[in-house]
Amino acid sequence: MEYLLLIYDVEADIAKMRETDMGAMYQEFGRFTEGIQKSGNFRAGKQLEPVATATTIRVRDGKPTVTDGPFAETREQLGGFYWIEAKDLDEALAIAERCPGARIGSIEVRPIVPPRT
Amino acid sequence: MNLESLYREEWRRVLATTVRLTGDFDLSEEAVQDAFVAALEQWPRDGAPSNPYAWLVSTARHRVVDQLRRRARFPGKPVAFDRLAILETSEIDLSETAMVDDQLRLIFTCCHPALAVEAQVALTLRTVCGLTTEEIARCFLIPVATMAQRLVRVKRKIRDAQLPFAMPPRDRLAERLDGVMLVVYLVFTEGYAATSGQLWIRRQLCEEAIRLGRLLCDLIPRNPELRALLALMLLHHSRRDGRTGPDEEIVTLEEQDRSLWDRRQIAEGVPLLEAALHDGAKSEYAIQAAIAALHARAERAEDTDWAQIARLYDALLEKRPSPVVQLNRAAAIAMAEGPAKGLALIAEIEAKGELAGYHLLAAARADLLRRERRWAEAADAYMQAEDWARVCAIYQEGIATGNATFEQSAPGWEKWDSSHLPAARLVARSGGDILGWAALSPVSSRCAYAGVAEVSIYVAERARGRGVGGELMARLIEESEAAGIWTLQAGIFPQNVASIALHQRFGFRMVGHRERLGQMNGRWRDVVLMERRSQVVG
Repeated sequence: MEYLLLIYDVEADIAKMRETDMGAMYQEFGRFTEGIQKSGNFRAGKQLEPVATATTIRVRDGKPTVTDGPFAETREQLGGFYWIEAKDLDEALAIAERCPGARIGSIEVRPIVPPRT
Repeated sequence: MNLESLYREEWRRVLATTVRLTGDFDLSEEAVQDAFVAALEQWPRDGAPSNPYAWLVSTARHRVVDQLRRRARFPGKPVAFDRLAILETSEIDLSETAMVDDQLRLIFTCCHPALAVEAQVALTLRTVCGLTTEEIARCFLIPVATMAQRLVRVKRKIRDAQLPFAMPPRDRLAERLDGVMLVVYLVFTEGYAATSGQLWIRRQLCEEAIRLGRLLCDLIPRNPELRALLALMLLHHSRRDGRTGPDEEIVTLEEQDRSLWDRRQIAEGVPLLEAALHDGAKSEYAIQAAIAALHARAERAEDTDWAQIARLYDALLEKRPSPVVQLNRAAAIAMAEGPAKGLALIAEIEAKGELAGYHLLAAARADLLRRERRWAEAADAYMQAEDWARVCAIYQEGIATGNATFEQSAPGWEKWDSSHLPAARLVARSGGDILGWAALSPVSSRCAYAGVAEVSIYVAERARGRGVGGELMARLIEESEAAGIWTLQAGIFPQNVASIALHQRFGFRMVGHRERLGQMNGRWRDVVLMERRSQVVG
């Protein structure tokens, strides 16, 4: 079973972080990634640029509309993700709990629709 | 064979094992339902099997296999072929331990923290207790369609997010068990504290919660917190017959008829709690159960060990610093150390503003003011002109008993107003309602009798037996003395024993038994004359 861990945080708080704290945070993320690579749970994982860089597009009646900014303005913003493989939700939750993103912000755990056979 | 009781007993166990085998909630539920229908058809004809549980599990398993095979014929529907193969071929472990584990797994899955709490409650009632969707909807006073949807959504999440049908890991067991206990307790309080809905439905919820509590104590033996929770529910539920009056109104603990309490449940709950405390139970449930046990032990309200209860509220407050607990603690301290202390604590809580507008705060304060006899501060102690409609209705209720007065109908306001003294026209209020009234009328226009007055006290039918009459009488005596009345008298029909007892309690003595004093509906009636001479006036 595959899950997507969506890491949300308050960008403004991250921007205010001191450089040394920032460095420590990246190191922690690095160790976490390494850990789930070793355990075989890791599929992919990336950090995203801030929502200020986001562009939203929708096509209606064949006509695309492009707007600046994220799809929804929220208090916490999507800042990155992990795509993992886990036995069940409990294992996925245990992995998400260890992710540094859970302490800084919140992690939404979403199952990925399995491929149709 | 009684299939109803069989269903009650076996549903959970059969479903739990079937879910273990199939890993699919929805499919299992349907299959188990079918298995019971098959039992209903076959057993009366062919005789019941020696092991109904094994028969039902095996039948449900075949239904699931049939279902999966049927599904496999439709392209585009994913089928777990590996599971199908296991299902068709494997031996089923039907041992006692496997059965216990199955049930625990079922409970832990239903109470998984990834599910919304109300969904946990609904799912537990459906799968663990075997209540139908209609029954659950009725319990929570929501439309059946809404409840059905809630259950569909939660089962879909279990399937699609792959919630494990498993015991939580050892290091999470205590925390997950807390979640399970919360669900059980929520089921109980939904039944116990609900102010709406039919009584028997609410009781059913309480009984389901107690059944769940017992089940958990059986499945996880020697767990002190589980036993404390069961004790708490038993001790609260033991008061069920005393805590509502004939019109389902809530009767306060103090005014409850304790002979109505379920002694059997108390006899079970108290030792259960003692054992749990001995084994180290210290949850909120344990503390609340200890409070309930102290109430259960007091034969009369005045025997209650309030000092001990106040200490237990201290402990509860440490675990849950909520203003409602503070209020309960203030009430307990008031009972232990006097109303003044309680009023000071309530003033503190009020100053913090957290309970602004909370109706029980106002009620608690009014109650303490009454106990302290600071009547004037107990808001609206006196009858106002706009109270007449309600006062008159209560008068009419009294007349209808045939034992309160010779009058056949309540007079109009003018007539009542002119025949009663202006002093000491009192009402007992609760919230916006009036529970009773009291007033005085002059017995003679002769000057020598200026300080002699006749007492009238009427209590609303639905508020009788709750101390309202006593409260009114205490105030009436004070007010009458303040107004210079030296003798209160009352003519009471001998049949009205409650009224005679009330007057005796407040120092009225029997002056005489007046025979065939007046006619009522063509029948001569006797009247008991009682009077109370003031020690302070004249």
